[in-house]
This record gives sequence, structure tokens and C-alpha cells, in this order.
Amino acid sequence: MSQRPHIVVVAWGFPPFRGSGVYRPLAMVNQLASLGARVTVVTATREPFLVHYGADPDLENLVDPSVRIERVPFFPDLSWPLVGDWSATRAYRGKRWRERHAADGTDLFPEAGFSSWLPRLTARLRALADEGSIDGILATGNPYVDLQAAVVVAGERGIPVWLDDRDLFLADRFTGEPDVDYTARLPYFERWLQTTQEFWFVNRPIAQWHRDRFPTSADRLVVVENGWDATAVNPELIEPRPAGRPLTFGYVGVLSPLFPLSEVLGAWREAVPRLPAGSRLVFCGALGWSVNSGSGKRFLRALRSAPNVEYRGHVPRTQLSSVYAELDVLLLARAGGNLVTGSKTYEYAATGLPIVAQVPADSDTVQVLAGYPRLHVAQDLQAGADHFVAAADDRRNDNGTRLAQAQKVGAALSRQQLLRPHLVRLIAACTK
Amino acid sequence: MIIIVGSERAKTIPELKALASPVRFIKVPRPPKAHEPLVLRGRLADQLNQVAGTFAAVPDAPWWRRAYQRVTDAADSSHSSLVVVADPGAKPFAWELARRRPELPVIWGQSQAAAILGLLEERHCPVTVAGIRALLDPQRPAPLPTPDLLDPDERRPRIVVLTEADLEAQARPLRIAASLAHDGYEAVVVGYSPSALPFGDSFPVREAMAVRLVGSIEHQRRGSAPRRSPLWVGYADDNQIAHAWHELEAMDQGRTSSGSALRRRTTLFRTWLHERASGPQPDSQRVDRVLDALRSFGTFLMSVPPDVLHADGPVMLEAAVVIRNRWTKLGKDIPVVYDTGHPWDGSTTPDRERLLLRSVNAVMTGSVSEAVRVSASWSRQLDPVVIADAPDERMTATNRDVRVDCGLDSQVPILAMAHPPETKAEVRTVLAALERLKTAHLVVVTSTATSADRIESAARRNGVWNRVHVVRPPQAGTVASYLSSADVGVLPLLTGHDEVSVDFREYVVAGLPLLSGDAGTMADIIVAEGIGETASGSDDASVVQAIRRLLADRDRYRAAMTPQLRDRFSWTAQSPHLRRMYQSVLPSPGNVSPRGRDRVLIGPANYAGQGFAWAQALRARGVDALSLEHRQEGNPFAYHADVVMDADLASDPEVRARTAAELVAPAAGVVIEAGLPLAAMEGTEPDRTTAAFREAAGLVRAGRRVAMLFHGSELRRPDLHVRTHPWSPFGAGEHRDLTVNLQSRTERVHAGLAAWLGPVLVTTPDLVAYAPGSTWIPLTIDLERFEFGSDRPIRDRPTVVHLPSRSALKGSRWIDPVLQRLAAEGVVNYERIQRVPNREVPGILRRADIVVDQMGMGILGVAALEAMACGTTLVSDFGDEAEGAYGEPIPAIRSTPDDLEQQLRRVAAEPEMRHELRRDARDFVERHHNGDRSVVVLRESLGL
Repeated sequence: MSQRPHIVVVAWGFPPFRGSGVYRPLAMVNQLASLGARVTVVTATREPFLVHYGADPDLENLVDPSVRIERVPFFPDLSWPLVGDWSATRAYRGKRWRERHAADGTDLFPEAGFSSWLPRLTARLRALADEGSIDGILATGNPYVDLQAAVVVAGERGIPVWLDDRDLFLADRFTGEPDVDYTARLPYFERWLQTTQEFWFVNRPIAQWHRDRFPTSADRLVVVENGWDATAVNPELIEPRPAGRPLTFGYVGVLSPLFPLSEVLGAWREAVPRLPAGSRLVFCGALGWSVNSGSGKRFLRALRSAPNVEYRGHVPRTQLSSVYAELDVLLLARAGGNLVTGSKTYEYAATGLPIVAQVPADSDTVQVLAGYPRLHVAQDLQAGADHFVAAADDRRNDNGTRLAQAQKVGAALSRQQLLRPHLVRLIAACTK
Repeated sequence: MIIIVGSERAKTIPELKALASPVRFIKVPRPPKAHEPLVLRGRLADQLNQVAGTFAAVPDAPWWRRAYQRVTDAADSSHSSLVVVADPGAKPFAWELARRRPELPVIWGQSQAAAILGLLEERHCPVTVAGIRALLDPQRPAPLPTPDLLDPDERRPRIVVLTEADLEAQARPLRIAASLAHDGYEAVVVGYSPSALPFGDSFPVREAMAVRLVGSIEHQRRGSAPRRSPLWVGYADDNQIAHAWHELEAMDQGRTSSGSALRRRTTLFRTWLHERASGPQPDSQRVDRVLDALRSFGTFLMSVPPDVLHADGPVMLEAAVVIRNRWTKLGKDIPVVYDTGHPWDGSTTPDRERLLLRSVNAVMTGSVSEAVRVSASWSRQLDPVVIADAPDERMTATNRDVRVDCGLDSQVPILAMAHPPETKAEVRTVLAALERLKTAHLVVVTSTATSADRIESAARRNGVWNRVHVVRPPQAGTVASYLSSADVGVLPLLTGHDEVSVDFREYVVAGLPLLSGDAGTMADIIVAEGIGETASGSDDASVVQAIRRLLADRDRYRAAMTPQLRDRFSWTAQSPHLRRMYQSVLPSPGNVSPRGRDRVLIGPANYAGQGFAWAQALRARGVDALSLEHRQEGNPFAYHADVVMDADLASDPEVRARTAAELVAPAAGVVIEAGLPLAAMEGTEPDRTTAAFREAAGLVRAGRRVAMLFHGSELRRPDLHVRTHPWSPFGAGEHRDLTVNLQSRTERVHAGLAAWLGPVLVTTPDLVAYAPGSTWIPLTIDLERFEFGSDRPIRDRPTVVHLPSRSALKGSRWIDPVLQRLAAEGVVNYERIQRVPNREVPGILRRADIVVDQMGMGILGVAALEAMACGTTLVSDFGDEAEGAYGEPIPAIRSTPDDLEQQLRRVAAEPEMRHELRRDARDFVERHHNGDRSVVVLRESLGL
């Protein structure tokens, strides 16, 4: 066995893809390389991202140059742009066509839209295995075809495989309800559990959800938290002391329908008179549903009617650092169901700023921030207002030491730090 | 050029604007809600008919046509074009466009298009469909322009013969196609429809298929002042047109146009001056003719991909080259074969022809002299193959006869001229001879009024007009048969020809003794073979003597025309040359493909899956058969068929033509179901029955064996049904609309049947009374799918199922209340089922104890027989005809609405009786409906 193990990472979402799911695979790949592994990434061709899903070609520059990238042709059939290749029904009765074809290929693998990629992906993995020794495969989903292809080829060739689940295959991440395809998906999942060395999940609730259902495999279910990326937040930009100016409270992240808007605004209204004059609350993030829908409009109207509140909309990742630098107190609120831990939690911690959290005390968010010194957890309206005030004082009365302390705690929550032990373990297992 | 199409005005996104190509927006229509063909009535129609002469109906242009023309004209004006679809409303138009111009990239979504163009530009790739496909997903299989009708290994290479000729009068394209089809190719002749039927028509020519498409109005009016297309305005002399041609070619090959806009404008102005000075040039007409062909046939030729293009004449050659270039862009290489036409018709110029000949793979001519002319003008070394215009004996049958047309009895000697005399002197010589012969009549076949006038005035001067008959030509290819009852065939008397003429061949095949001048090749043959007389044309007496000799000893001359001699001058001698030439262009897959030649095609209704069942029964007994179904989208039953076509798509003229060529033409036996056309072009809805009968007649003429088959509703006239069936659904006035619809549909069917002489098949015995002379073809039940449930318990409280295909016709209004009542009382369990896919029916029948099929119709239909096959007790109102037809009692419970409740109570109460009926019912279906009898009927009626 060579000193530098050859590890194949299967990740559909890889640069230039600019979706949020790209950062974890990117970090995994780069860190595996920096830990001394020979890394080959198997991903989709660039074109679907450039043409359809949205791409940021700059992200490609972040990939470690030693990494070999294998691209497998992919284009979503539901978005195929050449009209000449369509059927009459697709052109004339688009809705009916989509209804009829939404589940195409799911007999191959129960993941609509991606299942047709599975044979190509599997074939490429086999070809790679034929080419030379692969010491380990790390597959990250969604899409879950990544996992399935890896398991199939790993099983055939006796290669150890690690599976990484950034979402939830069997249930809805937001509601925890079993997926509509639960019965079709379960046999695949059970096979994965049997085959994989470890199954990685992004937070404790999801891992627990699986441990409850698959107790015999509980020892292989591992939490590999997301952490924050240096591309999104730069702690050095945070001003140590707000020199006597009004404070800016900020919420960064997607505003989903689950966002407790009335509670937050209620607490804010209560708090405003007690805060330094001119203090503002800024919401930065896209709406998780259509702006033009009724609830979207109501949401925005409510935001605009509140005092000293500003809605900024989506902030591109490249500008996030400067947004954080502008803020004095961060507002953390429940973004999804119990199974969701917002990636912002880690970024917030990285800043070292005071955090007002309107989340249940038993939520994973609170657990993630357990050691963070500047957390103000509010659970009801009155307490919420108090915590706004407390957090404001925390910020104003700091001479920079509290900031440094908090940033030190936050630094341990970076993606690099959180990933590292797991990747080291993986490499060790591959270097027998 | 980037052409953005939208159903509403769309803003061009900045990413598209930023690209180097010019952007143009064209508004396009949405499809009409329902297909409403335009038929003008009343005063406007009268006026239009007056203007247009023969117009019976105004051509119904498809909704997309006008915008299609605008978009394609715009696309063709640039060497590289891309169409972007801006909004969902424009998707149907875009699809129609893309389907007809598959080489033109049509992209959904502005941002996707911008990204794709950006990527192609970055990689220096040309903007082509193949390029985009390779860019986005190189592994995605390229779809065919229209869905495949046949397995690829069943498909034969397709030769498309393009012709401008009137197929009623010019037999050469038909003969060539028929001959090639016989040699194992799929041959389609594409020409102009003489009428303005909405979509043209198609008819089989032996194993080939002729498709006639509607030309432009300009085409219809050709002869008057030609109108020019904007694309071609500006080119008057040959060089300029050649230049324009180059440009068009360059465009099609993706090269940059060589002419600058300024130069084009200059040419335009010069042309205008030139035209002012000299009137329209003949060549402008030629260019119009090429464009007309492209517009009329281009769509068809892009949706029905040819493997070889056979161009009849120089105009069609130009069109063929453009089509070929379009296909080249799609990566398909199509050889072009050029038939120079015969004789030289002056529709091109030597220079032009020389230019075009560069892109031709093989050349054929009608005569040696023409071959010499072509090879002399042609720099490349490639020998033209001479395929003479000879009559094909297998195609000559006609019901017209020259004697009947002229009203002459068999005693009157007839001198026949298959073409009018070429010169005045010739006319004089013939008429002078006629004058001295006293009893003989002269028949001249001509289609032109001028030659008819010339003969008439000369004959009046000579005083023989009462013995001269000018007749219009019979249908193409049938001249020999038409003239065969004449006595002498007259060839040119004054001029000697080096070559054997078409007339000579026609006379020999017709068996007519020949008269010719005494010089030239034909005179030599006549003398050598003893098949006629020669005379010196300048000596009237010698001509008269020759005719007298011919008339006196007709039998001797006829006897000299041996079969060998006839073969020598008929198509039999030509077809090997044609075959050999085509083998060098595109080898045929073998002389005759094993499948298809004696195939039976059944379609397009496939009601209750019966078309498929019969096809399967035939196949099981060694007869090749295929079932075709035109299926409406949303049809819930989903019966099996060998070929299922979307009914909407099937009404598309191109798909019709393709069906005709691929499925109908190769079939030897055809069963046309329900009075619906398989592939005949149809205009408006009521025309469908007419189209079906027209199709049947055309198929019979082309030697196919055709049976008309009726399933029931389309033949069973409601007004007659009411008289014999007291519970008829058509009586009570409850199903008024249905009754009215069926009444008019059945009346059309009966009108068609009145003129139909071939076999008629009906699926239930009661229908025989509606079509006297028809034969009952028993329904065929798939005994494996509907297997006998021998292990079923006999339940005290039986489950009763009623599953009508159409509840109005099945008397559900009587059945439902009775069964609901019985279910409420706990006598039975009632399951009412409707519109389930056929694959679920066996399961339903197996869990049922009793099936109530129908009340009021008096038939034993498919559902009833399927129930019996499963061993389910059947309660139904099968009529006396059914009881009589089987010659044995039907093992089921016969009931009417009167006694339905009583019968059901009895059946429910007597499980033993049900048990006894089960095996009998199964045996009954196995005996009568296993397909044996159906196959016998099909074989007998189709003469297999």
C-alpha cells in the first residue's frame, strides 16, 4: 500500500456549482489533499452548472491543484433546452408532461432528476477502479446517486467506503416526516448502512433520528458538523469596540416560513426604547418562498412596518464578511425544524459577537454554541427584549477581550477544525 | 443571428444582448384551443372559387405557418442562426419549428441560451444542434425527428423521389419509385397535389407510395405573372443567380456569406433596371419554382428523413441539394440522384446545371442523346445511366378504353397516336392518308389545347374531322392499356429518329401493329421484327398502302410481338439498370425484405384491443401482421397495439405520409377498422370516413387486399336499432347528443359502404343485418391473460361487477339502481368500475362472481366474453342474433331490464348453478373466441 492513499470523492455538487452544498465537499477534498492523500473527485460536467443550476467559476480556483477531477456528463432532462428534442406533449402541455415525467428513472433509483445519472456515474467509478488502486471512497449527498454509485462499486471491488449525508435521504429535513418515497428508499439505505465504514451526518438530531431507527448500526453513525468557512466570514474584520455609535443588530440567513417573525419583532419593539438611539435591526437573506406569494408579501409588510427594521435581501457569499463586519449583535432564530442546524450558527460563532438566540434551549443550535461565552438565549417575548438589551450592553461594554475570547471559541468551530479529525481517521483507515 | 420568439413581447436579457450576434424578436402565435379547420362557406367561398378556378376549399394553413415562414426566412438570411424561446406560450410554436427544421437550434429560455452561446463562443464551436447536444450532454442519445414506427432492423432504406410533374400524367417518377420499392427500398414520390385539399393526399403505387402536398398559391397559379420571394429578388442573370445559389449553399454549410450588403443592394437595383427593360426573366420563374418546392416539401423532408434524394429534373435538383445540406448539418449524409428529365425542358441553363451536378452522386437520363448532352457539359467523369421511359406492364391497368371514349365499335379501324404530330407536315401527311382510307378513324392523345386546335382546323379543312378524335391522356402509365383496343400505332412518318421513342414502346406493349416513316432506328426494328410497316412519309400513297396492309393482316403483326419483344421495350428491360445504379449509390438490403411483403396491417381503431388480438392470432398462425392504434391522449384503457401513435400527432400530414410509406405501403393485406383512415390525408372531421373509403379504394387499385371492419357503434344505425330493440339506448331521448352523433357517423359509413365492393367484416353477429353480405369475425380473447379462476370459492353473497366502457351505451341506468338495491339488502356486493386500464381488468374479473355487461344493446361484446373466459357468471342482454350465430346455447344468463332484478336474485341464491356455468363459459370462449375462427375469416376475406 502506497504511503499516499488514493481517495475518490464522489460529489455531484462541486465547483463551479455555487449552491450551498458545494462548500462541504470542497473543504473535504482540499483537506484530504493537504493531509497527504491523492484525491480524485468524481463530479458532474461543468455545463449543467454554468447553464442551468448557477455557477461561480471563481470557486474552481479554490480547489487544491493536486486534485484530479473526473467529470461525468450530466444534464437534467426536465430542463433540457433543445426544443427539437422534446415530445409534442412537452411542448403543448408542459404541466402534464412534467407530472408524467417527474418520476422518470426512479425505477432505477428513487431520486427524481438524478437517477438517470447513476449508470454513468457507476461506469466511471468502475473505470477508475480498473485504472489503479483506490484505497477509499468518500461519497457525499445529496444527490444520493453519489452514495449509491459509491456503494455499488465499493461492494464490487472491495473498497472501503464512507458516506456523508448533508441532508436526509429518508425524511423531510424540515418536518421530520418520512419521505414520500420512504418505502422505495429504505432498502437502499439499509444496504448503505451495511456497506459503509461510517455514515456521516451534519448534526446531532439527524444522527439521533437514524440511531433511533437503525439501532444496530448506531456505532457507525457519526456527526461531522459543518463549521464555518473562511470564505464566508473573516473574524479579523470585526471591529473590537463600537466607539459610541448606534448599534446594528442583524439576522443573516434564509428567512423560511418557520421563522418566528412576530415573536422577534415583538421583542424588538419592546427593546427599541431601551436600546441606544438609532439602533437598527437588519435582515440579510433571501426569502425561503416566493416574494410574490401571499405569505411572502405579508412577511415583507410586517418587516417594513416594524420600527428601525431594514430588509436587505440575499447577500452573496463573497460579501458576507463585510456584512458581518457591519453588525454588532447577531440574531439567531429557528430557521427550520428540529433537524436543521443553520450553517449561520457556526459563522456567528466565528465573529465573536454577542448572539441573541430565539431558539428552544434543547435545540442543536444551543448545543453547538454550548461553550460560546456571548450567547443570550431568549425563549419568550419579554425575555427576548431583555436579551436584546443585554446583548447590546455586552457589545458596548466590551474592550475587546470578550471578543477575542469568543472568537477563540468560534475558531474551533471552523469547518477545517471540525472536519479534520474525521478525515484523519479516514486516511488512517485507508493507509493500512 | 439570434431570433427570439415569444407569444408576447419579451425583453431581451442583457446577457444575450452582450453577445456579438444581432438579436431580433419575432412574435409567434399560440396554438388554437381546438383544431378548427378553416372552411369557407357562402358568398366568400363562391368568390374565392371564381378567382381560384378549381378550388373546392381554401387550403387550411396550419396555425404556425405564417410565423414559421417569417422565422425561417430570418434564420436563412444569416449563416448561423439560433432561435430562443422567450416564454412558455411560444413553446408549441418552437416545437413545430424545431421539428420541421431540425438543423436549426431552438433553445428554451433566454438565460440558458446566453450561457450556451457564451460557452460555444469560448470554445470556438459552431452553433449547431449537434454542437449544443455535445456541449450539454454528449452521451444523450439524439432523438429522431418523429417517433419510429418500425424497428430499426425492419426499416428499409428510404428513397424519396422529388418531382414537379403532374403525377396524373407523368408516369416516370411513379415507375421509378415502384420499381425501387420492388427492389427492396422504401420508395416515396413527393409531388404537388393537383387540388387544394387541406393537406394533399397520398396513394400507393404498387409497393411504393406517392405523397402529394399542397403547393403554394403561386404554384397553383403558375403560368401567370410569377411572384418573387424577397430572398431571391435581385438576381436576374445566370451568374447572379449562381452567386445567390452559392450564398444559400454557404449558409446551409455554415460558411460565411461572400457578398456584402452593399453589393447585394447594387445587384438589386441593377436587376430592377434590367427587369424594367426586358420584363421578367424565365429564370426568375425557375427560382420561384425551387422556393416553392422547398416551402411545400421542405417540412416533409425534414420530418421523414430520406436516405437518398432522387430529383426529377433540374428544379427539383436544386431543392434536393438544399435539403441535403440541411441534413448534412444534422450529421446525416444523403446522396442525391439526378434524373435530368426527358426531354430537355429548358428549366435550367447549362452553367447552372453544371454547378449543381457537382453535388450529385449519380445521374440518369431518359435517352442516349440526353446522356451525351449531360456528359459533354460535365467536367467530372461519371457516366449518366440511361433509363428509358418505358411502360411498366404491371402498372398499366386502367378502366378507360379508347374505343369506349370515342364511341366506336370493334369493327371500326382505329389509328392511334399517343402524342400529337410534331410538325404541320406530319399532320398533313396523316390526315391525307385518313382522307383516302374512308372508314378508319384517327385518335390523337394530347393534353394541350394548341395541338388539339391545330389538328381540328387541319381536319376540318380536309373534311375528315368527323373521323378524328382528340382525347385527353389517360392516367399516367396506362397509355398502352388504354390504346390496346386500337388497330395501328402511328409513329412519326417524316422524321427518322436515332432512338426508340416512348410511343414506340407504348404501342409494342399495347400490342399495336406499328406504322412509321422509313428512316431511323425504329423503322429498322419494325422491319426486322415484322411488327409493322414503314412508309415514305412524303408519298401519301405509300402511307395508305402501308395502313391497308396493317389492317388487313393485324393478327400476323400482333403475333410477331412476342413476350420477349415486349419485355425488351417495356420497363422490364429498364429496371435492372435502375437497380444497378442504385446499388452503387445505396445498396438495398436484399431484394425483398422478409417481413412486410405479405404483412396484414390492422388499424387504426383497436377498439377493445381487438386489432392487436387479431394481429397476434395471425402471427401465432404464421401470418405476419401488425396492429396500429391512433390513441387519443388520456385514453384510459391503454390496450396493447404493435404501433401506438398519438392521435393528435397522427393527424399531422407529415406523420400521415410517413405512416403511409412505412406501414401501409409495404402491407399486402389491410384491414381498415371503424371507417377510420390509417394514413389518408383528411381535412375536416366528417371527412374521416370519406378518407377511409378513399384510402381503401386507392389500396385496392394498387393491388392490396383490403377489408373494411366494423366494431359496432360506427355501423349500428341508431334509427334502425330502435326498431328492433325495445330497450335501445337510442330510443328514450336520454342520450340525444350521442344518438345524433352516432346517427350521422353511421350514415357516412353506410354511404361509403354503398360504393364499397370489397369484403366487410363485423365483430358481432347482430351487425350482419346492418351490412348485408358482411362476414362475422368473432372477437378474440387472450385466454392466457383472462385465465380461468378454477380455485375460486363459490360465495353465498356474490360480488357483482359492472364495468361499462361507455355507460350510456351499456344501459347502466337500468343496471345501477337494481344492483344498488340488492347490495343495500345484502344480497350481493356491488362494484361499479369505469375507465380502468385494460391491464387491471383480468384482476377485477377474477375477484368477481357475477358480471353484468349490458342491457339494451343485444350483443355479446368483448367485456362479456372476457368475463366468461375467467369463469365469471355473465348476466347480459345478448340478442337473438348472438344465440343463433353460435349454433349452441350461450352458457350465461340472458336478461333484460324487465327481469334483471329477478334474474340476479336467482343467480345470487343459487351458487351451484353459478359453479356449473363456470366451466361451460370458459369452454365456450375457448371454442369460439380463441382466434382460430377469426383468422379463418381474415384469411378468406383477404385471400391469404
